[in-house]
Amino acid sequence: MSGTLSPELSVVDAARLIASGEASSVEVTSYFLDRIEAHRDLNAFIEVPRERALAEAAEADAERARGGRAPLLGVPIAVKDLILTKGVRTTAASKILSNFVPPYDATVVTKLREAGAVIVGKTNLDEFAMGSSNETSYFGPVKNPWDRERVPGGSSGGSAAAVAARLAPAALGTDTGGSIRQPASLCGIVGMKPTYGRVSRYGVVAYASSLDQVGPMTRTVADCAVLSTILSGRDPHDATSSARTVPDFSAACGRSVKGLRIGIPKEYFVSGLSPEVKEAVLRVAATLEAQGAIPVEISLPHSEVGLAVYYVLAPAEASSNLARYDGIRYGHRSPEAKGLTEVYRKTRSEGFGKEVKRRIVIGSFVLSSGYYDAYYLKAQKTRTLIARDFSDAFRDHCDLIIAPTSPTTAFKFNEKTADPLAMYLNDIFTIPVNLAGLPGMSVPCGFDQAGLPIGVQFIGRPFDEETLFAAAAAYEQADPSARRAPAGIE
Amino acid sequence: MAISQRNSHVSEKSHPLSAEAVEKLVKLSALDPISEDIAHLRSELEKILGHVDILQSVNVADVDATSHASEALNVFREDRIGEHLPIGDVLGQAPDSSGRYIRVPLIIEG
Repeated sequence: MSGTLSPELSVVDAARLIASGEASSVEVTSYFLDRIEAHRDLNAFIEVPRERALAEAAEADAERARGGRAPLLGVPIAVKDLILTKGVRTTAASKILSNFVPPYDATVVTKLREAGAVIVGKTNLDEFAMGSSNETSYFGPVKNPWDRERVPGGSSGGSAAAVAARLAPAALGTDTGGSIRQPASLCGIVGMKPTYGRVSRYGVVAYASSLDQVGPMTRTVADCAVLSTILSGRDPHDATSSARTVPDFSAACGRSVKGLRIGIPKEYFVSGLSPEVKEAVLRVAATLEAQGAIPVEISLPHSEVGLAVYYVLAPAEASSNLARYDGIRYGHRSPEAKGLTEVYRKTRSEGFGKEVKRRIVIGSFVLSSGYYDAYYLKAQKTRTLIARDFSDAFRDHCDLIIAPTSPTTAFKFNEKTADPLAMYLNDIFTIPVNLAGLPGMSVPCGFDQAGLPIGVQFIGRPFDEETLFAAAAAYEQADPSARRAPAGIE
Repeated sequence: MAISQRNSHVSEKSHPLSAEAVEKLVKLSALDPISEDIAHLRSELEKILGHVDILQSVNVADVDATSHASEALNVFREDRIGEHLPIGDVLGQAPDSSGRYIRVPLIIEG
């Protein structure tokens, strides 16, 4: 095995090693497959198709020998098990899809394959992406590599844990209300939710279709930029995907932040937010100010109702999206059912977990006759006001917004499971970004006194991921102490 | 009130729901009312909806609804037959199938 392989291998490094011939894809992929096996206790993966991944790696090596130079040729990448992979079981971490093998790839998977990547495994998640702790998976909870008695965050907890523990150089996640950014924050890695429409949702198991986006989870901003460029672009299979030209996000990483106005929402920084999180995030603003950026206080007046809007709209959309799981065409069918109505009801009650059922029922409520106007329509109009808060701030005051990603660092298992609302509060800073369709990125910015990672969130104008990358890269370079590897993952 | 202060009081309010209303919602959701814990679900829903009721205080006069954040409107394509998934691959996923059909329990019961 090549002496250059280490857990710290980034996507960029791995691609360069393989392209130069210093290491083969089979060596690199085997290395990470062995690491996944050695750290099975984290439960970060639901499916690890070892032989298939090695076959893909061998094919990548053969392609390289033929002169192939695809940007990710031979690089192993993990994929959240909400994203369809042809021929490889995709479960959405649910009993109802526990036996589902997709007949096609999601567009984002096709794009990774066209870039030469090897799909090394399917990562664990909160069931149907509904959760903030990865405690609702049918396949068991994921452990945070920083403290195995704590959650990694969710719903992309498996992807976050896998990248933090260096089980793969990068992973794909999805984000509907914070499910890339919040676990990235709790696990000390970079996580990016692109502008709504930047990345195709075709082949991604739908939770809330007006909010869902796919994005990369990586250890470095540079890796995030490489993957973001590859994943983005119009897809005829996804009518909501944007036809806008995809910039080279890697080029944006070197841009100066001099003169960049950084908005700091006053509503986000008051007592109630963890003082350590507050201090770490404000230190990021100070670090960028030292490079010529201009911090400015802004107001997002409708911040306090974001959670309520989300917990009307997302469950409403989920109740429609999850109606397809009926035991007829795929997935679990209740063996006890007699007659079609029982097939539907028993299949779904048996197949879905508690959180999923709770959200479906909320969705049914807010869409039902007599309540539709007061809840669903009202929430849609309030969503307009939330989006307007951001657009007003970007029009009049700032080019970028800085905020905490999560109000706290990683919490212990079962600490918030008894009270759904306590769990939902984890996403108060991330949800408004989905509602407004904006790009948001979480970047590690330090540690609390217990040594747990803290993340800072950068929020940008629609389709201005370049400014996010510029600021994130500038901060990352200026403060390397904000990142390190967890202990015990050698 | 700022976001953290306001949301720290989320547990105080409740939106009363009857057990019958919850059971009706469970059926509307195509879930099984016999196997679900209606009482527990009712308690959780009341708490969640109690927080959501904050929306009633928002002034949305003359505000249009936002249904999605996409720039795209009326995306069309040619009405042509294109590639489709192999029927065997699709039917292979069904819990019960026969030939080119998915088999389901009797619809007319009794």
